[in-house]
Amino acid sequence: MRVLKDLLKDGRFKFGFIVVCILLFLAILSFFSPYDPTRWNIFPRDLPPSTQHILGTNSKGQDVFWEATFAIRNSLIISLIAALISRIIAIIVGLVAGYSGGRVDRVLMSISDSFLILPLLPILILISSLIKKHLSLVSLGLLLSIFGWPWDARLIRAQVLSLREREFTYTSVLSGSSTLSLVIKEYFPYILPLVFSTIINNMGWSIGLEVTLSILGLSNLAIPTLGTTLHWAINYQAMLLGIWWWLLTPIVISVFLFISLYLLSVSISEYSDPRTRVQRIGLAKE
Amino acid sequence: MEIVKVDKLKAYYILDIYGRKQIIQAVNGVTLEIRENEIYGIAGESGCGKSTLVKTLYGMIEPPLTLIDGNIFYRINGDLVSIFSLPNDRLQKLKWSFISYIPQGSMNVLNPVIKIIDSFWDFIGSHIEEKEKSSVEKSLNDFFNMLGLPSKILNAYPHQLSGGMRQRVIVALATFLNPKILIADEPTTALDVVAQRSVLQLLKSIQSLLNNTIILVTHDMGVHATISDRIGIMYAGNIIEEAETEELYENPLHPYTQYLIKSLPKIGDKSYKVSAPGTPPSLANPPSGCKFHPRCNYSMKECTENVPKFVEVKQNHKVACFLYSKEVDS
Amino acid sequence: MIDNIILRVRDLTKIFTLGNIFSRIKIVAVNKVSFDINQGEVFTLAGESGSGKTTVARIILGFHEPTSGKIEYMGKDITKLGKNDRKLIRREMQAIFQNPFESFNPLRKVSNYLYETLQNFNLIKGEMDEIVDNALKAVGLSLEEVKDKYPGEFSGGQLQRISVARALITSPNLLIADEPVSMIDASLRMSIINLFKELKEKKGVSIIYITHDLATAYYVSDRIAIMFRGEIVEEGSIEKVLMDPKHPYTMVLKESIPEADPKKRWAKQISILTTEEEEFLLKGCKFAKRCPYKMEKCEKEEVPTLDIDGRKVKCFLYV
Repeated sequence: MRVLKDLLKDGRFKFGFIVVCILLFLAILSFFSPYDPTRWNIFPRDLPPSTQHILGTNSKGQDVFWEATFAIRNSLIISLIAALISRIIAIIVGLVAGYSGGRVDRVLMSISDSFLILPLLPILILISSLIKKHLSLVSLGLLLSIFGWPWDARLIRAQVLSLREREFTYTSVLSGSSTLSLVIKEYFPYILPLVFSTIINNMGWSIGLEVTLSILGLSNLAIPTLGTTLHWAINYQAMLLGIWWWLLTPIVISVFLFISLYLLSVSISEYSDPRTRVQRIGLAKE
Repeated sequence: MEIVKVDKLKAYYILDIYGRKQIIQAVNGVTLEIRENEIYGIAGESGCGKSTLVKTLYGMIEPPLTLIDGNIFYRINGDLVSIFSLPNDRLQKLKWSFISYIPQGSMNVLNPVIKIIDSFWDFIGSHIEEKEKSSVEKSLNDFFNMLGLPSKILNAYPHQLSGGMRQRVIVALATFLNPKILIADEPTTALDVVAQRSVLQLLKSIQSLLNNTIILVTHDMGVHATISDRIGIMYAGNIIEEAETEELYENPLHPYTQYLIKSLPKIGDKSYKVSAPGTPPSLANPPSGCKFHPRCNYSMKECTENVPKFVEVKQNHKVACFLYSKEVDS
Repeated sequence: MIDNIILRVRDLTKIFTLGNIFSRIKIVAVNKVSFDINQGEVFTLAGESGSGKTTVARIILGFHEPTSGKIEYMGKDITKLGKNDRKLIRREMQAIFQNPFESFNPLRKVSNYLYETLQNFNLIKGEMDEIVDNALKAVGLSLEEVKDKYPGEFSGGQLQRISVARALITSPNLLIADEPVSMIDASLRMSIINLFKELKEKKGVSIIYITHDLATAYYVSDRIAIMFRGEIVEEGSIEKVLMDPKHPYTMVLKESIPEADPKKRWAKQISILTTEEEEFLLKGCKFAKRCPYKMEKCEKEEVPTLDIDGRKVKCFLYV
């Protein structure tokens, strides 16, 4: 995988990649957890880290380490669902609006802009306080995806608009290509890098929102995620009582997750930027 | 008297893209002397290194462009000074007041959201004292009128002017502080013939008014015939022929120069014209010996092995070709 | 000799409206332009930038809709065509553009366009590789040299040749070349121009050659029309118009070509004191402000087109 090899030469990508791999490993580890994450009082409460419990136990009587593996897994699942679905909506809207222009463009962008100006947090608070008992991972992911597409739709539309004016669009039309095949063959190589880096950005955004909602108590608190762990820790006055291992675990994991997602996003988007790709094309042979 | 002297200059682009290295030998041992009060033309195909050469003349040697060898001298106040020996702030002060550079595509350097006169203050503001600003504005108006440019365009926005007019504005701005040397890199490439004529006429009248030196870089031999006094032909990083304009067009010695001149069509002449065969060599991987030999009809065995030395074979006419001199470049 | 007219343009007009609700200007980019193209001829549409020549080409190719006027190809009106009809016409009318590096997507292999043209127009008779190879050989290249390479790996001249090869795959009757050599080094232009000559002489392809360089136009064309700010000011055979120009603008264009002869330097200075926008909005003759022979009526009345000496001239000097 030449692409991976090249990317690993970039220090930022290396760091982000290693951290994400570790977190993925921990997430997968959750499938082998000997304890049920929804059960309370399995262990004595508030035990500091020891050889038996690497990260100690929390006030609910659960092992912090194994809870954390579930938390990572669930947070990642929510953000992946949110990111993937909102990408699909953004790509379709952006492509159609950008290429068609005229009325279709204006209608789509009005819809997109309306979503953009909606005050996100109050609406999410409202919706989730109404249905929080029924919020599963998937439904939270879907909810976030409805609000995650407008920004990137406009980004993709902007790219399509500029591509439409370039001469190779005309060459492609003269070669007899239909609109759909033109967009897929000519424009996708430019749009996919955008999609890629915005997926990662979007994942960061969704995790952030999920943490916010959970801390406010507006998510399904039975499911362990980074946010709900924080919520419980705050609720049980972990900081005051000195149960730092419970509080710090989700914080440190979140910080590392955000940083590595950012580094991945930056290095991947630089690598896949058409301008640097053009530079690399000739070099591959020499 | 020379005002710019280049001595065995070598400047390469050293690239490192995700671990893969590439060295582009853009300027490969150039020795030149450019005199006061002349228009010196540098001709050659795209990719021969001429833009890099003039960038180094202007002192713009920044990574990935690296100085490998050689020296560049300016004659400042009568003495030849190496530009690499000057401290950075002294070199900065020289820019626009001693030597000016108009890069390729410069008609697009004007800030599109401010008026021309405000762009002007951006460029030149640091060279002018605060108290002199109003008198400077007046002399700017006079300067434009003298050059045949309507002074009302100073209050226009760039998009209101055509490409040719913008280019002329840039030329005027670059010469306002009366620099001794003006470097113009492909000033007319994107322009149609009429706009091109107006820009070239402007350059010529500036030269005769201010008696400065203009270094004109372009691939168009028609343009050189029209305004250059002396011409240096560049190929793959080296100057391969240099002569006064009339001499060069009457007796082009190097086979490449001959191609350059004969390939231009003329009105009234329907005879068959050919362009130079093949394509310019890659500067990352240049051919051995004389770099033109793969495309040359007269190439001999020594052309593939050695590089011919750039020597004077007639008065004021230098060439680097084994057809005229067997001297080898070290 | 019976002239076989394949393209007829009549009173073609295109008006662009610029500005917003508060201040609108109408720029008449193309003003009642009419000309014919014969089978097997090279017709030059010449003029400086902003003359409207590229707009005319775009309208003929179907990329813009005209404000008014008619274009007939082989007797059929092609100004307003549906998608399928337009595709059929594209098979017979192809084009190449000014910037060889932009004509192809820098992220795609160049040969893809050649194969796609074959597939989209259902022209595959035999081995695709062979057909593409022959198309490239006709322009002096080969599939071996071109396959698996991206646009950045070629020179401008090579890319333009590949553009021509792609345009010729459908064996078109009419090729529109919009400033095909302006972005190529002056010394390399002839190889492309000679290609056009060959196309006309050996294959009978008609070519509309759009340029501002009268020297190459003289070399390769049969007839020429000079455009200025949207109007044709002189039209006729290349010998007549360029060796004995009648319109003052044609004279300026001809003189402005820098010749590769140091003894022939420009005698007069020209001065351009007007902006493009101003010139478009002038009443009467648009060239009036720059014309050394200007009369009072030039700036007021509409200029007639006259038949003088076997060509058409739009100027009051000859009334």
